[in-house]
Amino acid sequence: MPASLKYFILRSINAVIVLFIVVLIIAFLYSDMADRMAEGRIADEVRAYAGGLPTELTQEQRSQLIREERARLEEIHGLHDPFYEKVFRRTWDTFTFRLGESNSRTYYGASDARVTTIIQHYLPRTILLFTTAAVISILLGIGMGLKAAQVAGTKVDKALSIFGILTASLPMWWVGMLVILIFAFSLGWFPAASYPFPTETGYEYYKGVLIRMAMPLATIVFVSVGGRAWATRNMVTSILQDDYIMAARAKGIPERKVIYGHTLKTAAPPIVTSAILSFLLSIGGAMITEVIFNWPGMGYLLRTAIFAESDMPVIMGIVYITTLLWVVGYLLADMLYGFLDPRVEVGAEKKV
Amino acid sequence: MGDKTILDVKDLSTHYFTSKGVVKALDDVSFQLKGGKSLGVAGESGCGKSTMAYSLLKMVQPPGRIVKGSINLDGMEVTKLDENSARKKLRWQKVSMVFQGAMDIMTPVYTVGHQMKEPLRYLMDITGDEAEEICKKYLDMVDLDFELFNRYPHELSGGQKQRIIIATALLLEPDVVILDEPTTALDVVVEARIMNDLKILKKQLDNGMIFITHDLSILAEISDDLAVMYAGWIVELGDSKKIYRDPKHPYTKKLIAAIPRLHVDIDRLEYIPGAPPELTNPPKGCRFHPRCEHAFGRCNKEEPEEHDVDGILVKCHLYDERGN
Amino acid sequence: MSIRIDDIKERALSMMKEFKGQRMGMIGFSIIIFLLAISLLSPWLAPDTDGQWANPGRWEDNPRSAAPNWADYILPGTRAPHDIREDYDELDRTFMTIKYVYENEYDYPPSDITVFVSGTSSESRIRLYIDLIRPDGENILFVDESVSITNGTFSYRFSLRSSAGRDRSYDFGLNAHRDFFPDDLTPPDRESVNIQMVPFAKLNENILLDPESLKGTYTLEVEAVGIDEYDDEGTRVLFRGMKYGLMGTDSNRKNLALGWVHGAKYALIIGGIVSLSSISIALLYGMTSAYYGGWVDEIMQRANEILLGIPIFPILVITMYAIGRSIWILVLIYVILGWRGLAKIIRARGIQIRQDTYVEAAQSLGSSGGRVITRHMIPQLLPYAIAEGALMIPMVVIAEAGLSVLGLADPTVVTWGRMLSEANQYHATISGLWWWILLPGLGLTLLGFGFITTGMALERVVNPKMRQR
Repeated sequence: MPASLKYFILRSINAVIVLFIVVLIIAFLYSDMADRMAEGRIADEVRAYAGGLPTELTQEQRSQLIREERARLEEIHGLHDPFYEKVFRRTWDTFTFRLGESNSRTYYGASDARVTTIIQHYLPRTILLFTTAAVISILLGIGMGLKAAQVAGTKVDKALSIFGILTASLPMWWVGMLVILIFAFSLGWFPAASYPFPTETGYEYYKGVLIRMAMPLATIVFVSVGGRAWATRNMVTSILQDDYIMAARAKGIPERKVIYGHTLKTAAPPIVTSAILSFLLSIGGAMITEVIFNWPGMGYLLRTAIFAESDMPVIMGIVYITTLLWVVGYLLADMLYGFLDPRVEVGAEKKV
Repeated sequence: MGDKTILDVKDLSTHYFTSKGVVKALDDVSFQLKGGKSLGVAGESGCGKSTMAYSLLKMVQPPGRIVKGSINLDGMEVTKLDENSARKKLRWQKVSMVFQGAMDIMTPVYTVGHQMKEPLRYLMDITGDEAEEICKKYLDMVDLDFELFNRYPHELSGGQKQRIIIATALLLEPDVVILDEPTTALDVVVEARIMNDLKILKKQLDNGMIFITHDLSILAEISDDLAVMYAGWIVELGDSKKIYRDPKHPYTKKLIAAIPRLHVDIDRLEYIPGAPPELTNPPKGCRFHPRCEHAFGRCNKEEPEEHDVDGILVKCHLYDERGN
Repeated sequence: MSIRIDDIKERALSMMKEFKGQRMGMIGFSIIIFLLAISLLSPWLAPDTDGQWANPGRWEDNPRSAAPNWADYILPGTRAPHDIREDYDELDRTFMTIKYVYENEYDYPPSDITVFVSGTSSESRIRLYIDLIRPDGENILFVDESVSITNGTFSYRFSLRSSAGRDRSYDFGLNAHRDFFPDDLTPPDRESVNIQMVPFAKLNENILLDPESLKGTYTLEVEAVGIDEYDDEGTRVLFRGMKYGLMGTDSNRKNLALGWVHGAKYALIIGGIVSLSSISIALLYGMTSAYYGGWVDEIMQRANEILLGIPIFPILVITMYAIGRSIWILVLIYVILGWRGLAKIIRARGIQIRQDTYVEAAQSLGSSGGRVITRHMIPQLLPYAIAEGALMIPMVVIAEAGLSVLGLADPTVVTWGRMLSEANQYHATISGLWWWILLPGLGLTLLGFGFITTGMALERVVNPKMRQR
């Protein structure tokens, strides 16, 4: 399939360009701060160096040696390199996951100060929460949307549409706050904060995690499922009006097969891609939701890094990883579209 | 099947109940079709041709429904069928349909073969090689290579698609095949070839056929009988050659005069002034009277009766005296 | 062959008529008008709020964490209103005692009493007593202190929430508790007691565990021995309410209703700027692309596809962190990136319109490219772009709010997001301060609902294909 191969290649190139642009912006913004951080580190090292110099040296010799040492260190850190060189070095470092070390002495509970280690510590929890929510929401949303499309125009359908529109205009994390207020504060059913994680092992551990996950998970699903169902419903109803559906019905194909076969299979590429894309778009909202629930994932880490620590390298790392996840997800959505729709060609309009 | 009447439609009315009023898309329509014969249905767009086809398939979509009349198909009363038995007993086995060529009638994500085999699978329980054998037979009949079987619809030309639809419509050997504007979207050369094929097929098979088109010249060639529809009515019904030679209804006369003919002067080409009426609020009396040059006093007051004029049924006040 | 002004007018009028037929759209539109009116009136509705939000002095007279006034209607129990006494009820000149009479008829008594005393004296020191006489005859002496006089005047502030106030309250409660549980070796400690309520609580076994409001007449007595005269200006008492204003207060006494008004204003400002700029850029980009077609279109579409791949959230985080926590940076980023999706839709519609006969006719009659775009394409596409652009407004406002919660709030403005971020920071959820969370969020929801329904109604009006759904 040369047409689809070309499509895949172009999409991948797109993804790389996007990643490059974002990393360049990061590097550009980082450069200044990185210099200041390096200056601080050099100052420390020079002070240590000066303290270790033999006492019998004259004042002049001392300052001469110190000046040389400082220049050597500045050279190592590339402080006097041209700006563009710094930016490109930083870009390359970021691309290759050399994300530097955290400023915080706490390491945020990870085993060492490297940003990659810290992120590795937090990322799996975000992925756990987020993908679980995504899978539930997509399956439930598509199911609800299909049902609504089959009863289009009825009260149930209208109620679902209103639910979809209403929840689509809600900030996810705000709903999270309300959920805590209701289910943790008023009713006391769940712990208000997900953190710290349970210390037990085995069954108890998983039970603990599940209890902590219940509220954030329910929040994400609640906010996203209505919109998903509504989008699915609209896509399916518009396909149901297409001529080939009528033709399929005329052929005596059972209604179930018309809906789950002809309609759903045709609707699948836009439904699946738009589901993935809207989930990617909600990454920000989901990270903030983590903050609200104290779910120890990337969002929680980001807020701690911003609020408590003002920790630039960690923030940069999170931004890069988030971008990377987005770009990969976006590419995946594109690829999936190409895989699901036999008609796909380069430049073909997606029905998203 | 011979000369047995396989389809008998009596006083059929199908209306759409929209928010803007009741659309009387089909009003008191009656006709018959004999096995091996073909009926042409002609008329401008929006005159109820397609509604008639959907009524025969018991596939009128809400807010429309059949409000009156009967459709007797080889002893089966179509209007009384519920959805399930319509699907299991009627569609494609008794009546199949070739949809307008202009439409996107094949599901884009299934292969041709998959879609062709569907009626066999769901209605006859025939699958696998046996199904493929049958499909191959009908593909041969419409002059198509079996190699197309595994292609997707978007990989086919318009003519190929239309032939596949025709082949699919014949698969279950239905009593009646409805062809709704089967060549509209195709270019002239392809159109001619398909019409030729259809003529040959018609001779080979003994299905009853209903051709729906706005193009009278095609119908004169291919159909035995002709029904001319206007605004939900059949205004003229009878032997197609006869009508073509000597149309009775003023509307039919205009339609035939409007057919471009190569050997006739171009300035004699006629057209019908005005547009077909809104079916939510059709004109009183004869629905054609606002556009009819022969209209007189009674035409805008009384609905005309059907008159038998030389074996042709005409719904027009002009023939009132003669009929009585 | 060109569109006349009259045609556009007629089209606009007929669209308006059709829009009026859309019930949801009309509701949404009324919400927008409401928010707009509030924003325009904000200098009068909520003066001194914007720059003063973080200034505790501005909010000093307010109660802490007070529910909205209407809470009494929807929740059980009655709450003490906010009661500021500029004048005392009684002055006894023989002992220089002033009295404030307080009728407590509420299930939730005042959250605090703050007493400001000032006056003149010719002595160098005076002795100050502040006393609360309860309906049951009990008496809590909160202040018994010697106050020094400088330049012949003094001023003194006491609050039930000060450590002295808390000590006295706890002691009072503990005494009562001991009467009921003489053997209790571990009475509830101060931190676990709802201490603000103890001075107003019934003397029963629950006074520390779950105090109940003692209704009746309380008298607050202030006695300053050695004083010449009370200063009427500086002497006053606040019986701080458990309810306050239309939206209550936060735990830093800020009046949420005032903040809300400015939140609406900033929401409309940032949303409006982003939406207008996106509509303009998208129209220009999409139409140029659609009009010229060919390789121009190809290049412009490829470029747009790359832009579409850029995630906006991480970019916002990093720029706002690195450059500055300002809503204007957020606006800038959205101006740069916000139009891309809309441009794609506009282009697709534009191509449709280009195929419409009259644009072709206009071209063949020799209209220049720019003229065709402005005279023919814009009138058709503008309503469409506006409908889609309206949907961007809630998106931007919600993004701002989210970034605030992450700690990137703009400290110079009051937004709904900042209010929510503070609610999160001060644990409003687990303290049950529902109004602090509900109301700013309701602002976001109203805005979202208003623009989404309006946008969808507009979409339906300008895009007849959607009407059939």
